[in-house]
Amino acid sequence: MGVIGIGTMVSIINFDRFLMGFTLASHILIVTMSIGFSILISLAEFLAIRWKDPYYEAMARRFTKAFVIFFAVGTASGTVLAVELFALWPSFMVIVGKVDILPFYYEVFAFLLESISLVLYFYYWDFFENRYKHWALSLLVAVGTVMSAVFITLINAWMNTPSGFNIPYYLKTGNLININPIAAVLTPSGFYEDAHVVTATIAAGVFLIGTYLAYSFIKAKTEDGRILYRKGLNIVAIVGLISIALAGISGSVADSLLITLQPLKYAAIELNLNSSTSAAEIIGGVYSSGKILYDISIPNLQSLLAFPLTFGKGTVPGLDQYPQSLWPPLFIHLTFDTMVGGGFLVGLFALYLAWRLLRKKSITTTLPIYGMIISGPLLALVYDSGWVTDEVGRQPWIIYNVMTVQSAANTSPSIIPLGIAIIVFYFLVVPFCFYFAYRILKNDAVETELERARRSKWFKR
Amino acid sequence: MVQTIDIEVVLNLIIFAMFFTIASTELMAASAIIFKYKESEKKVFKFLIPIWEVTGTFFVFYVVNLEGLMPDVLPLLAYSFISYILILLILYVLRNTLIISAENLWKRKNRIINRRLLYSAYAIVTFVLGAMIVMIYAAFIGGHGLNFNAETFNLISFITFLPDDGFIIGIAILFFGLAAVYYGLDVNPFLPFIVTTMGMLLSGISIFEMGDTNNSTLFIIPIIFTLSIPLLWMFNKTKNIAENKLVFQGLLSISIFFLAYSQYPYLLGKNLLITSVLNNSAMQTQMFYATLIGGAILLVLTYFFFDIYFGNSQNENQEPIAEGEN
Repeated sequence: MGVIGIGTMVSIINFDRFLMGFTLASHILIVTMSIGFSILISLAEFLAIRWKDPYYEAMARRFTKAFVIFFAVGTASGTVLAVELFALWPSFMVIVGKVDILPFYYEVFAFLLESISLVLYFYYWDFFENRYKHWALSLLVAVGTVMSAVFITLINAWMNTPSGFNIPYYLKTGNLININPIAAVLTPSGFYEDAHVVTATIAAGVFLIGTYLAYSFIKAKTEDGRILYRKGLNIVAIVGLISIALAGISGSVADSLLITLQPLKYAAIELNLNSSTSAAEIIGGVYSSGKILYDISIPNLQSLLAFPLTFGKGTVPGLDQYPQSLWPPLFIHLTFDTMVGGGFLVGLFALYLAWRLLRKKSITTTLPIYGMIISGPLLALVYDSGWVTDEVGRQPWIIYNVMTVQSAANTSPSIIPLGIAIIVFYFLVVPFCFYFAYRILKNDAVETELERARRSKWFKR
Repeated sequence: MVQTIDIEVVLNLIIFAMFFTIASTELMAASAIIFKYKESEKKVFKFLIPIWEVTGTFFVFYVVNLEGLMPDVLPLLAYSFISYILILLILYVLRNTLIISAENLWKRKNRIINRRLLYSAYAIVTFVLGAMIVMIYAAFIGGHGLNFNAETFNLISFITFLPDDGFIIGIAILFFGLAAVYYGLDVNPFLPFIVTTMGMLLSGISIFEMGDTNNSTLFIIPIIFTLSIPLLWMFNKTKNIAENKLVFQGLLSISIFFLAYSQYPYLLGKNLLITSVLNNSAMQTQMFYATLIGGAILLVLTYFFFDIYFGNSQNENQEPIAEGEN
């Protein structure tokens, strides 16, 4: 503290926060696309082989080109995050290194599975005599991609519900004893967080790709183009419905679990000023001088959603049970509402698409097409809102009830100029990534790719 | 006498050797692209294009393993090298962006931004990245410029200690010499041996002078293994053996492993005992099992990769082509 003043240190800590948050927000946009693509590619190629349909083949090839771009930039940006974690939060990473490094380590192997499989899948597409073997590689890519998300989310779950060491002893002495790395991996909130994050990521990625497909359908100048994009939209509608339904269910369960695992976060995101046995669902609203203003209140709904098995019988926690100094910023109630409301709207839209498909009606008419164009960006907003809710809701802790963000941060002033450079750089790289992927897809005419697919040995049989 | 080594450190050094071997293929590619671009189009891109995405993965693999092995060293690394780490990250993202753009450039005839420009920029960035990684590694070996207690790094102190510079320059010369062998470039057959020997002499003397060496007898292994590569390449009968990617990478990995082992158990010019900063036994055990299982998966994937890579080369005699080129 002798070298830099307290005020400067706090500013640097806030800068660390911002830099990490900014990098994460940029990274998850790319990652959602990667995960969405990995699943759609595998499905498209399977349908291409099964039905000997060159449109699905062309679609799988097109998606793979874009996927490789997102993978390349995503890999780099993931590495930036990994290094930022120990560069910005060294004390935090010391504990992680001693107690919960295993999910990171498992993730590396998932990452290797994804990258090596992708190299073989993309660069040696025509090498395989048996196309099912090639398709199996797409499965490995998808498994690697999804498992990466699973393991990384486990780290976040551990930050929310730390386990695998003697916490009271650590708080008393600062020493780590009784370390059990497997218990840390199996953290109480792990399964529920994974279930929600993975399904929500798939939904966001798939709907963002749906936006591209819908836009391309409108712009398509040839019949072949329209057929290809329509088939793509059909897959998006089905995968999108399944993933967003699962995200909704798992999200509701995860929210209810906060009552026991992180009651303060629950109270903040629901904006409960007092604990209650018949809590109303508060939609919107801001906290001001001990009151909630501008909200819509639906009686008993919160209790019913929190305790569905007992028809609402139970007690939900309130902010009044905790000192105000420990409250997280209460704007997370609004980000939570954005997440739930936006997700619900897209879910309804996905149901509508499924209903049309069941009745063998086209989903390329005006309402579904424009709905799809809106759904992608909306779900990206929903996804980022969910992430902000989770992370800001844990403040002031970096490891819940164990370590504060302040005590974990790197307070070296040399971070600031280079951190700004990273931020500027991301402002260039992320739009470039989306633009470049779009240009690559736009550059290759659908007809050329269809012709290539039709010429392939597999489709001649 | 050679110091007995902990199994967890062995695994870490193996991962380091694998990472540096793969990264070195890019360093060699970079020098080939800069000095012999036309030839690189035929001989280098064939291998570079499918491999560059894996290099980054191995970097992460090494960093995470290091975190699990010595978590207490991380604050030193984070505080001392924060500026360099952030620059390294920017360059890393730039490297990926450049090569993916070069692969998928949609206007191949663009006069301003063309494939050659992008690949050349990629090569320069890769060189700088390599130099920075070797610099951080050298700083951790010799400890020059690093203040352990204040957790700071002074670049001037590092540079003014000549063996540090000699090590970095020596490594660059060494890989410049090996590039011709690895990619079968059209050069005088004696040249790679001469250049590699020069690089080895410079980096070898430098690392010895850096003051961390504890098992100097182990130097003999990297010397023999590394020099055998250009030596085999000098003669027509054995040229194919040296150009074989598996043989080359195997010899290089073993050399790197033993070079790193020669410093064990010290870091920072014998000021830091590695065994005193190892992680707790519970974590070490779990990391060990995870490495074994993950390593087995990795071996299978590597086998598939080389099987397809060589199968493709022999059957079609053509390089894997990025989709954008078609």
